[in-house]
Amino acid sequence: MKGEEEKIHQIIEYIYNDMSVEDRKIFEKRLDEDPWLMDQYKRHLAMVENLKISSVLDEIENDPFKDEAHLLAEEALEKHRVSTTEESVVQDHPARNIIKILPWLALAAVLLIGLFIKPLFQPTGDKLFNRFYEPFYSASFTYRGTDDTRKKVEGIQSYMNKDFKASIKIFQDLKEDEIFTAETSFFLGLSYLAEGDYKKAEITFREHLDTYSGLDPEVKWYLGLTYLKLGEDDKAKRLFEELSDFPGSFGKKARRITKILSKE
Amino acid sequence: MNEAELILGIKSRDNVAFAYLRSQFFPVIRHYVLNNSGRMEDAEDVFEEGVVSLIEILDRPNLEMKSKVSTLLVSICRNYWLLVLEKQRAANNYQYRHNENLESEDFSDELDEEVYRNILWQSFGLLKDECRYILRAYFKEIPVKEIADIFGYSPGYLKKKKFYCHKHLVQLVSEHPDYKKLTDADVLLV
Repeated sequence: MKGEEEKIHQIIEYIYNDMSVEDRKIFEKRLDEDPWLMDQYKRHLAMVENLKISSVLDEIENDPFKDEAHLLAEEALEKHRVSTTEESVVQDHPARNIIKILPWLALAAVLLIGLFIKPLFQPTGDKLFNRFYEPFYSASFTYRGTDDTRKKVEGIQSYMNKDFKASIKIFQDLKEDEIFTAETSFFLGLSYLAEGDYKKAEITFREHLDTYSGLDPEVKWYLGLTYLKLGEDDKAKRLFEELSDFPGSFGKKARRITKILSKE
Repeated sequence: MNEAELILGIKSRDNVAFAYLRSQFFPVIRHYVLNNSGRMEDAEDVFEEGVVSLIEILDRPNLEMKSKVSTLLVSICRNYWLLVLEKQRAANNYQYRHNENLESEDFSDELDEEVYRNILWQSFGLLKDECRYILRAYFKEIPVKEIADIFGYSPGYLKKKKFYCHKHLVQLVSEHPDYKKLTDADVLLV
């Protein structure tokens, strides 16, 4: 019974983000190994998630200026309404016969472009990078850490604050002191990438994949983008193909980018 | 993150502010869309559209917004989703999608979820003011030190307090008269 109580305590600390980075990792490992713990975790998480939703809805309901918000929201919707109205006007317009053949004309144009001009407009790795790259952010990395993780948290916060030079310095120091973990290695790679040092980013991400088992999808995604920037599209494509089977948002983005790269 | 910081963050296109927006309000939009004939991808699209409109509004010069960012964002997203449904109906697509959803989802699950949320919210209302404040502050990701300072507690004591508040809530939920009906119906809850 006491053991169960202790486990519940850990679940609550984990859900409310009151654990150090190291403890989180240990707890996540236990979650994978202990079905009872996983079951309880899901129940408590569902409770907190539902409460969060109710809490936000309650605040909205009690917002004394909610009418003002509704008005602004209505205005914002106008642009979408206008497009709906335009669609219905087009349906009734006398020129609808011409409009009817427009899709065929468009299709013919697309085919022409596809056959003769397509290579000119194909996205390069650089363009794809610009389209898909965005700095990494995850709330789960903003730990309320203990002293032993202070330096690491400081580095992550520097990255979040876009002070990449500072984050690189901190993570390099940690590396030299051999206090290097999956998170620090990942964020060092991210910092190099954000700073435009693609070669170092590539090396760091590759070392990460060889050394650690955590954060695989995240690292592969950013390594793939780094390859695009380095003009190594084939390597990038292979990584995105691997990632495509992954169920999360990285998998979704990887499927999109693989599709585009396959058309080339 | 308070309202002023959030607005400033959005205006300066700060990733931390957008991540906060997502972690705090996307679950609300997802809940709304999924309960109104939508799918997960729809919820993603609606949220994205909502954030774009929110940015456009906040970027307006001389805007004096008194309402909360959450009220505005949720209001935009709700309106937008209703418009999407309207368009889908116009395209004679709605019936098909609606039927498809009815087939793939168990309606009783939705009802149970709603009942559960009510039990949860009513139990939450029975907690002491201090507990409600602490848990809500945690939901909003306010730093522990900041919450602790409000009550004059040490961060360590606040964490203990939060634990007992959560535990008390679990107990109140299990004692709720409707909770037994749900568990008798073999619905897995805390």
